[in-house]
This record gives sequence, structure tokens and C-alpha cells, in this order.
Amino acid sequence: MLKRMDTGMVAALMIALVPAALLAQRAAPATRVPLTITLVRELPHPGTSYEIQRRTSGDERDVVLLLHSATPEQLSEAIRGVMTARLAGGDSAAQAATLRVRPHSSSSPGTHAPLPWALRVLADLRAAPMRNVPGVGRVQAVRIWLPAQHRLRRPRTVTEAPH
Amino acid sequence: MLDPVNYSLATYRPTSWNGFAVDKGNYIVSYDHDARWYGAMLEIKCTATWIYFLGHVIGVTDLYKIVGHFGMVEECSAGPNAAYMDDTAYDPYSPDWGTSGGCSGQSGSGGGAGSGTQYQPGDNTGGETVDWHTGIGNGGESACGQAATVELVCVDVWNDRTQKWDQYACGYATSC
Repeated sequence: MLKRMDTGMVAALMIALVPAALLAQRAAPATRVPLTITLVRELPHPGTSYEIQRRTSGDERDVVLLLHSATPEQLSEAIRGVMTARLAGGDSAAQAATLRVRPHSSSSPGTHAPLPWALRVLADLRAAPMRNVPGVGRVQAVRIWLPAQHRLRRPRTVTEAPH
Repeated sequence: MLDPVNYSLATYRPTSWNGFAVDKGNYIVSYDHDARWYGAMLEIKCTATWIYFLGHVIGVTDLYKIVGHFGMVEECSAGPNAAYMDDTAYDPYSPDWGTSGGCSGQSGSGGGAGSGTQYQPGDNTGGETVDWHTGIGNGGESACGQAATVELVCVDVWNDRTQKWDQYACGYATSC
């Protein structure tokens, strides 16, 4: 009987049905989460070179405020700050807040090169038209997308005993 | 490859694989390219129904039921826009982080619990993420790829009432 099996058909079943069934157990999560970056003349709050505003509604939920004089290094640091804030508080904020991220007092600040695309984004930002960003005002702004922090993907062992 | 087990049971392994990953073995890739299946194997119950007409076999219908599957499925995030953040190929304007590529080839450790390594600030994790609270490698895939370095950082929240920054949380993160 087994010799009569169409192995091609079984292979098709294997490839098509089982992974689909396994993957159907999850809703497809967003792989990137948007971030609006704005240029402002001055930051609303002292003690930081950038500011992160997180909101729970609206189209622009995470907004970074950067000074007009910002460098690619500062933009990169702000982006890293957003990633950290999302790691700590989720890709979607549970409550509105204004944040900054800093090294722990017991930890020396890491030295990072600017992200290789930061200069390009900064140039785009400086060339962007003025528009209204809720909570910030009429500013130059661009939207970028960052990898979702929730996309921690652990391998799952699917071995099961035959029925 | 089909291997009889007993009676109507058989196991099936792919005759070809889509790739091989160190420590994980051969794998096939799902149609949507969103997952790899390492060591894929099915156990199948086969049923054949012979159709007779006037004493002659005029046809056979085969029924295959999957009764067990073996191996490890790893969901992937990688794809055409799967470059890591520290890569020049990273497109910050793409809303999609990989839809039709393969896995990174470095995430996970096969058991689902990560490396379990206690990292310290400044350590390179080789691409693994760390637990926010403990700094222990948890097997996730850092957005920084192999450049992922552990940092101990704090998030402050602005307090409108006191007009000061309050510490919201401190923890371990990978950065690049």
C-alpha cells in the first residue's frame, strides 16, 4: 500500500499543510513599528539632548524631538533610546509619557558609531516640509520604521507523540 | 523519503532541504518564508480504497492523514528588508522587516530558552537579545545583529508636577 503512495503528494501536504497549521496559531505581528522624528528649535524639558514622546492613540504614537543642530550621532542615540523605551514599555505605550534614556549610573556610556543611515534620515528631515505633529506643533518631520521589540522569536519544538 | 513503520503507518522526510544551519540541522522553509522547520518529519497513516467494478479494479483512492509531526519550527523575521539596524542596507522607510526571506541563521539556540549566558555591560552577545531585568541571554534576535552589545540603561519619565525626570525603569538592553 505504501508503495502506491504518491510521495509528491505527501511532500506537498507536508510543506503546505503542517507549517500553515502551526503558524496559524499566531496572529502575524508587526515587524516594524513607526517612529516620527521632528526638528524643534528647543526641547521642552531640560537635561537631555533629545526627547521621546509616547502616546496611546493617534497616527504618531512615538515621536522624537531633536534640535535643529542635531548630529547623526545624536539622532542615532535618540533612535537607540526609542528602542530601549519600547523594550522597557512595549512597542505600544500603555500610557502617554515623555521619556529620555540614559546609561545607568554604574555603567559607563557605550561608544557607538552613528547608524549608517542616520545622516540620510537627518538630511531628509532637514528637507522635509513643515507639518503639524500633534503634541509638538508645526515642525519638520519624517516617519521611519524600527524593528519591533516584541519580535522575540524563540524556536518551538513541535515534536509530538503519534496518535 | 518514505519509511514504513508498521501496517499503515509510515514516516516521511523531505527528499531535499532548503538549507542547513549549524547546531540545528537541515530545514525546509514555509511557503510564506516566515518559518524554518528543522528536522522535518511527518508520521502518516495511509489508507487505500480499491474500487471494483464487475470484479475488476477500476481505481484506487488514497487517503493520507498526518498523525504526528516532528522537528522544530522557528519563526523568522528576516527577509528582503531584514538588514540589521547597524547595516547600511537597512531601509528606515520600509514598514516591513522581512516578509520573504529566511531566518537570520543565528537566532535561538535550539532549546527555546536562549543561551542562558549572564552578560555584562559591554559584552557582545553575537546577535542574541538579553532579558531586560537580568541581562541573561534569552535567545531573541537583536535588531543589531552580531553587533549587539549589552548596555545597562535607565528610562526616565518627565514628571509634570515636580518638573523633574523620574526614573521609570533600569535594565539590560542590546544596542549598536
